Amino acid sequence: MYGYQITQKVKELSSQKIVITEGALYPALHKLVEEGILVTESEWVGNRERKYYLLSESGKQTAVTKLEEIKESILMLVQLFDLKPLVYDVK
Amino acid sequence: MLNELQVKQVKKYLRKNNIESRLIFGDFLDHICCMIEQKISEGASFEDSLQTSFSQLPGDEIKTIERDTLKLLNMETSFSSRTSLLATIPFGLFGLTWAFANSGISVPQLIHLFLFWSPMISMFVLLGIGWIKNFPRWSFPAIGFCLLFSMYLMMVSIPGISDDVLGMWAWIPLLITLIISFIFKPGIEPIKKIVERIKEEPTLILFALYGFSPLFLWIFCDEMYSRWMIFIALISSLILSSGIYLFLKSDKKRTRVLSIIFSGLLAVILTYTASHIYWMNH
Repeated sequence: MYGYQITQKVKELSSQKIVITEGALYPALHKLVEEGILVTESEWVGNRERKYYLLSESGKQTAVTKLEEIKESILMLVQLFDLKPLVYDVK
Repeated sequence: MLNELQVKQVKKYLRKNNIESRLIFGDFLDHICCMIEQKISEGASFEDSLQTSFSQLPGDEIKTIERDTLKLLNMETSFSSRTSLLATIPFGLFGLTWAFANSGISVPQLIHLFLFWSPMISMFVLLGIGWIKNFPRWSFPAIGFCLLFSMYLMMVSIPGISDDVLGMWAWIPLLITLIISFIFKPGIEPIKKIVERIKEEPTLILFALYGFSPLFLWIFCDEMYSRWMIFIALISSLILSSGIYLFLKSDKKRTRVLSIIFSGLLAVILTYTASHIYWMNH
């Protein structure tokens, strides 16, 4: 996906509740590229170059690990705040 | 899809706001164009979409994002006053050495040795620290100095050590510095970073060469012994140091390049004039 597409996708998936600012998005994308988690591919769209950010092979593994960590954190919060498990059960 | 002229207007906006990094420029060119296209698809005119997009992404905000990104990647173009001042220390030491060496004032041998070696050693230390920190911009003058100094040393003979020129032995200090730096930070990442930084801003080569300028001016004043050389040496070094300071402090490429060109030229003119006057009277 390219930068603008990522911001729109997040908005769409979160029903407009999460807005990723450009100031949060681009520094993070470039840092992930530097760390080898993302790779970029460019193509010309009309009169400008568009850069796509893709998960690298090692990045795919990192993403799985990170998602597991997030899942565990959410489950811990569910337990801590004694929320209804049915709503938050991610199994 | 925006046409060539419309894309040019977005490019102009980014340039006007001093967006210099290739990475950020490309990202935001596409990002703003997408914003405009989205608004046009919703029925707005190009001009209105352009203005709305610019107001949603003001130039200073993009500049801040550029600064944050470069800092995160250890690719900063401008530094704090403290860092910029610290980077001028070897130049200041050169100024002192040059001033004393050409003043004709005799100083104790220990002080003389300290004055002679401290600027050279400080440059090699700066190179070593630069390696460990992946060669930030402030270490570039040390890269230029150490390379040119070693090349210059190849043609020098040191009485007491060898009657012949040093030749390849001249590279020993640089080699030792690199070995020590390598122990602290193994790998070739620092070299990759140098290439990356030069690709991002080729004028850094000029900045690296600038590192040799104090020694060049000092060599230029060889055999000129006079009290007023103290002032020439100190003023020239001060001018050269301000070039370094401005280069590291400024976040505008033009200011950076002009600062080292003007300070370099000014110091050369001053030293050349002083030397001309000196040799006319001797």
